[in-house]
This record gives sequence, structure tokens and C-alpha cells, in this order.
Amino acid sequence: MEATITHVGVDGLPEGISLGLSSPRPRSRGVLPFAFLLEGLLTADSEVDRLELFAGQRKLREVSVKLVAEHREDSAPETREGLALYSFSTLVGTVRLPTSFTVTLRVVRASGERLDVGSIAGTRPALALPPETTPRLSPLMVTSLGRTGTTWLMRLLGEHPELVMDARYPYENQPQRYWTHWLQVMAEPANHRESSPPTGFYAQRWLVGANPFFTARLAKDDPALAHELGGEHVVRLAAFAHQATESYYLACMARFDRPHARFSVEKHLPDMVPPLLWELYPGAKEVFLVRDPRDMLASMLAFNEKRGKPGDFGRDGVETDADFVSHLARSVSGLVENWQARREQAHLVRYEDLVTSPDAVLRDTFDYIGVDSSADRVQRTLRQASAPDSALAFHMTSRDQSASIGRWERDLPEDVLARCSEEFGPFLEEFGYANG
Amino acid sequence: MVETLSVNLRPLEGSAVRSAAFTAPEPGAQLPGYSVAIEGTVTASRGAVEHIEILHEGVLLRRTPVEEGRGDHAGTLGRRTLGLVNQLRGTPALPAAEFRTRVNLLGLPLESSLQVVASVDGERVELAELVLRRSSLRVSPTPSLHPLVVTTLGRTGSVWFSRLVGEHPAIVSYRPFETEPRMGSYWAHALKGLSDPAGIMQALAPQDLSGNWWLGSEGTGTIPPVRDPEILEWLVESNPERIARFCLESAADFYDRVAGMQQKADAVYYAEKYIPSFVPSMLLELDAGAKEVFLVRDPRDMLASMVSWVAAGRGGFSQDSEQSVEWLASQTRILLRYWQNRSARSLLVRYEDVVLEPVPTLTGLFEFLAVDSTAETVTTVLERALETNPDHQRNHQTSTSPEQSVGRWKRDIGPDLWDHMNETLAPELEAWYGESRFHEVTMGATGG
Repeated sequence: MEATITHVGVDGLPEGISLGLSSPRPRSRGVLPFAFLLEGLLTADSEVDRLELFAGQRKLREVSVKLVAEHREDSAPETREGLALYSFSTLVGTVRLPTSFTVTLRVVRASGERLDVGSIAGTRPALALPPETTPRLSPLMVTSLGRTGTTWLMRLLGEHPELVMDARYPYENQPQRYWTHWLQVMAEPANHRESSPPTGFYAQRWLVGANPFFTARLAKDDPALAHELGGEHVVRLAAFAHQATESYYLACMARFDRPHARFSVEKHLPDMVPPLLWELYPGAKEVFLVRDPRDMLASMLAFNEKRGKPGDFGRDGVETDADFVSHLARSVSGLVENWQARREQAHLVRYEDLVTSPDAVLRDTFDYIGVDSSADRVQRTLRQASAPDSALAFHMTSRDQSASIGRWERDLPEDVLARCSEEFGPFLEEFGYANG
Repeated sequence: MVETLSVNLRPLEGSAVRSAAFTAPEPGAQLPGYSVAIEGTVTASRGAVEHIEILHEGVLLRRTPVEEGRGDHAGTLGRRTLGLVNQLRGTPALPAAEFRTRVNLLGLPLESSLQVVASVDGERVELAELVLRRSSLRVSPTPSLHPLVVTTLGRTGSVWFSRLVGEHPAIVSYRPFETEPRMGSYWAHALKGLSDPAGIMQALAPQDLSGNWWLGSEGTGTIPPVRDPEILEWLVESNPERIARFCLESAADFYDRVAGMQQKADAVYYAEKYIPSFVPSMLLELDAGAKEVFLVRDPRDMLASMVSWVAAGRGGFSQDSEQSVEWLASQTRILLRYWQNRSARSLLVRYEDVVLEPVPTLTGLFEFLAVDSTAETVTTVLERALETNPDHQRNHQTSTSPEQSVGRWKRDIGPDLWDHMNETLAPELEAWYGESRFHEVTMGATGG
């Protein structure tokens, strides 16, 4: 298991800031399989509160800085007045990053101002289950957003004898997601600032976080021990997450009479869980379910009204429906990015096609997964899934599925549509929806 | 296996609760797993039922919301009413608040009493006491390295003790004067959270999978009943057992690597210190090879040491003398209770014996642990501990010498506090020093 740092850049520093990284160094061999040491000095002309690390737009973690020295009257003449020197030292986990990653370093001043000060690029090994672990089931991920037809697709998939899930509305038992998230947290080195502290964690009855003893100091004192915690131990965590997930689905196979199941099916969001599942399970499959985001928006608003919960889906965090579009745009963009990153290995289903041509979509989907896709199986799946179901009826906000296509033209006002046109453009283009 | 020994309903006269009924647990029932379902209905005589609390010895285990108007006692009666409080007979069906939850019993004694309390209209009303007995959870086979649980408090010489025992070829400790990791505590904490039904239900319906925590729930939500027998068995029995094994192995794996670094091929124990909490008993339950040592020190010397520690700018501590004594007594009283509960299978080690008579003390300790206790080994252990990193030791000390640290309270603490201190700490002094060679020193000074 080899990890490398390919680039460390501290160019283009903003005025008043200087940064020196003693670790990591480019092409350094000292990095751990699933973590690297971030250590250095920072000078700034105003008070610094912390560092923040980002992967793209996603904040990875915060890093505390320690004031080492401040400018004094007797400082060297070239030292600028008001200059302060800070040190920092922490281990940064890489399991929550892609196998080829770039991390951006950002300084956060006490004033709240944020300044990009550098970047670190590197690679880590793909996280694989131990060779002795042979999964009985592979994950089938249905990656999508809310109100895009996931419940209907899950109901359809739940009728196939080679697929297992808790086949009951709302089809949202997600042990695979839970345990994969658990793995990502537990594989992180110590983060006393945002996760488990080294003392007093007993009192946090409902919060268990990253191992508080896997520290930068330990890595420097005992590199071999750090290599264990940032290497083989992570593989063991992955193996346990797998066992915990699979044991649940084996119970589901018995409960739902699926003795021949080969895949466990869960809904997923376009976050860091699906990429890690691809690493762990070579036999994984992923279906991206997309829907015209304007219809998705109309459906969210209608569903909130139907349930008397106007703030759901994040609507309570913004003022207007137009602002809600901008709020949703982040998730919508994330789905596009995830699709573009994995389109070679994943399968795309458009909600509109699923509704208008269910036979063909199901056949193609079953073909992609590699399960029985015969006409008889497809017909039987559609017939069984179409049986009357009061829970599913409650879930719908249109009189029927065909009426749910293009509803945005009836349901959304002009100002919201204008914002949709601005914010959803790349998505509409990528998935073949007309913008306007 | 959890057996419900009794469900003792409490009288409700004059309280804010008019009636209450339990459908679970059923008296005499023997159910699989390490958790218990608690379900029923409660009707307020005034105001609204706000929530239900489940407590053990006054400590809150679970607060669960109620669903107003969901249940009624008549409906409950029609199903499986086990207990009914007050004069329900003859009354019409009442709108009642339904509650259902499941409480983890791991981390509690094998036989425990739980209190079920309703919060109604600002009043807390105890509805029932549930007396339960569960099977112990044993990991088998155990990892090759077993926990040496050093149950103690701060300023008891525990770091020096860890250094000493860590020099034994059969015992591993990791940089006690520097980093002092608590892997055993961390993984026991993880086990408690992971095995809790609320944690497990998170796995079935995770609410928030972002951030730096993997539970993330405050454990206050309703835990929906799982009726599928296959899923229930996974939930309450096989999953906690799998988690327990993994957590125990994870702590041992760390020390196994440390043992390799220290070239201790025959290591049997890893030593860590633990504050008195659920953790020591949990580790002793999981691992049949685990051993426990209670490390105690004259609490008056602990107080003097704490004051010096604070004076050196290395910690926060109340400057109010009497308040300091009360706080210390609250801690030593917990340690005393834990020791009294487990004294039959643990070893009491006094700090004073460790520093003044290390050879016989270490010999006795190693005999208790069934590891090499020959004079040669004990001498080597002592010499190596004294040789290693004296700077680290000095940094941790607040006395000029070990001898000076025994009985220091007579020099460091003003006589005006002696009576209060001796009276407050008398139970600990009597229990831990009453029959020791320090009896005259300690008890004499108390006037006892």
C-alpha cells in the first residue's frame, strides 16, 4: 500500500501571509497509506484563528494553529510590526478523499477572512477488503436526489429476486451508507478540534468520533505504529463495516425470502460514500437516477405542502422559492460531477424514461446490473410493483406518473423558472433537458 | 438473554399521572440480546405528557418522546396489559400517550433496576421500577493480549505505576509519561454507542451522515419497534456480539503492535488507567483474561498534589479549600463504591506501598497477574523504570522525592482544614488504609 505526495504548492500567497511546510514534501516516502502529516509554520500580519482544509468545495477539516512568537520591539529589524508566527502539526486522513486528491489550505483570520494559501496533491492506494473477505452481496447504489422517483425505482428493484433490501416504504434503510460513513470517521486520525477529544470522551454518550490517540506526535515518535493505524487498521475497519452491513442483509434475505440475492440495494446521495464503495467492492453497480430538476423542485414544494412541513428539503434555510433553487443547485451540481466522474462504470436512468418506457428502462437496468432481464422478469416486476399501495399513493403529488412530467410548466412561477435556468443549466445540458 | 425479574408499579395518587400501563417488558419473560424493549401508555391527570425517561441509579439512559393520542388503555388491555395503575377498571377508554423505546443494558451490572419516569406538566412521576437480569457478553476466543485495568483517579501515581508495570516483559504500556493513550476506553466507548439500540437504529435509518461523528444522534428519538424476527435477532443479539469482538480486538491490536516494537513476544496484558466508569466492568465482562487493579492513594495527599499541580499552572482546580475537599470526596466515593463491588476479584494497590516498598508490592502484583514474579524480574523492572526518561518523570512530579510525597498533606495543607478533610474522607481512609501498615499514620491523624 503506497501513497505519494505529488505536489506541494504555496505559491501566490496573499499579502501579509507566509507559509512554510515541513511536511508533506513532494515525492516524500513518509506518507502513511491513508494519512499524511501536515506540519509547518505560518506568519501573518494579523491574528490567525485556524487553518481549514478543502477538497474542492467540500470542507475536510479544521486545523488548530499555535502562536509561537509575536513581533516585539527587539525583534529583528526586517520583522514587520504586528507579525505573528504560528506553528501547526496534524495528521490528515485521506480515506474521505479520492485516490488521486488535491487538498486546498485556507487560512482563517480571527476577523473571519479566509485566504487560500496553498495546496497539496497526492495519491493513496484504493481501499480494498482483506483478501480473505469474500462478499456474499455486492452493493447496488441508486444515486440520486430527493423527489426524483427513487421510491418508485426502489419499489421496482425490490421485486427482483436477485436483489435484496428492506422492501417496504420508504425503502430508506441504509446500513451500507451508515457503516461506510462510520468507516470514514473511524479511519480519520485524531481531530481534537472537531471530533473526539483525548479526555472526557466518556461523557459524550451519543458522539463517538475519530481515534483521539492517532496523533501527529505518535506518527513522529513511532512511525511503525502510525503506519499500522493509518494502514492495516483502516483495512480492518473496512472489513468490519462490510461484515456489519452484510450480516444485516443476510437477515433481510431470510426475512424477505431472497435466497438467491446477489446485490443489496440502497438509495445514495452524490457524496463520498459511493466512490468508497466502488473501491471496496469490485462487483458494485451504480444507477444514477435523474429527473428534470424543475420537476424535482415542484414536487418538493408540493410534498412539503401535502405533509404540512413547508421547511423540508432545506427550504427552511432560505427566504424565497427562488433562493431555494440556488440552495438545490449545489446538490444538483454534485450529482452532475459524480455522474461525470463515474459514467464509464455506472448506468443512467432518466425518471421520464422510467415512467414512459418502463419495460425498456428496466430491461436495460437489469442488463447493466447483470441479473435476469428477460421479458418475463420485467413484466412480472412491473406487475408486482404496480399493486395498490396506500403508502406509495401518499408519496405521490401528481394525479399519476405521466402528469408528474413537465409539471414545472404549470406549477412554478416566472421568477423561480428564471433562477432555474441560471442555476440548473449544466445539469439540463448534461442530461438532455431543454433549458427554457 | 434478558430476564425481566419484576415490574414494580409505583403508586400514582396525587401525581400528574392518572394511569399508566406497560406492554413490555413482560414479567418473567426471557428475551434474547442485551437490551430491553420498554413500551406502554400513560395518561395525564392534568397537562400533557412531555416525555418518558429511563434511568439507572439516577443516571439518564434514554429520554423518549410520546405519541399523544396514539394509544389508549383499553387498546393496551386488549393486547397484553401487564400492569395498570390507579382505577382504570370501569373507566371509559382514555386518550393516552404511547411510548416505546429500547434500552441498552451493556455497561450496566448484570442485574439492574431501571426507573421509568414520566415528565408531565413539569412534574416528574416515577411509573415503575424494572428489575432485569441479563447474560454476560463474553468474547471467545479472546485476543491474546488482555486488558490490565488500572482503575484510579488523578494524582495517585498512576503514570509511574504504568511505567513500572510496563517494564515487565509480559505487560505492555505505551509512553505513559508522554501520550498516555486510552485505547481500551475509546473502544469500550465505541462499543457502548454502537451496540445501543439507538445507535443500531441509526444504521437502519441514518439521519445525518456528514461531519466527524458516526452516531450523531442524541438518542432521544423514538425507536420504532422491529417486529421481524430475523432482523430483531440481528439487532439485539448477533450485531452487539460482533461489535464487542471487534472493539476488544481493536484495542488489543494497537498494543500488539506496541509489544512488537518493544520486543515483548510473550506479552499477556496491556496496562491502561481508567477512571471509575462503566468501562472497567465492561472490559472485565468481555475478556475473561482481563484483570483489574485499584490504585489508591491517601486522598489528602492527592489533594495536596492537585494543589501543587495547579500552582504549577498545569490544571484547573477550585481554590476554595472546603469545596476542593468535597469535590475530591465525590470522586473518591465513586472509586470506593466500585472497589467495594469488585474487591473480591481485583487487587488493591496503595501508592504508598508502590513508592516506599516497591519490591514486595510489585511481587504481589505480578503474582496476582500470574506473570513472572521472581526477585530478579522485579528488580529488573524497578531498575529499568528508574532509568528511563527521568526528565519526563520529573515533569510529572510535584514532590522532591517519592518519600516526600507520602504524608505531604501535613506540610502542604493548613491545619484549619484537617478536621473537615479527615471527617469527609474517613470512609476511604478506613476502607483502604484501616488494615494497612499506614493505619497509624492515616487513621491516627484523623483522630480515629
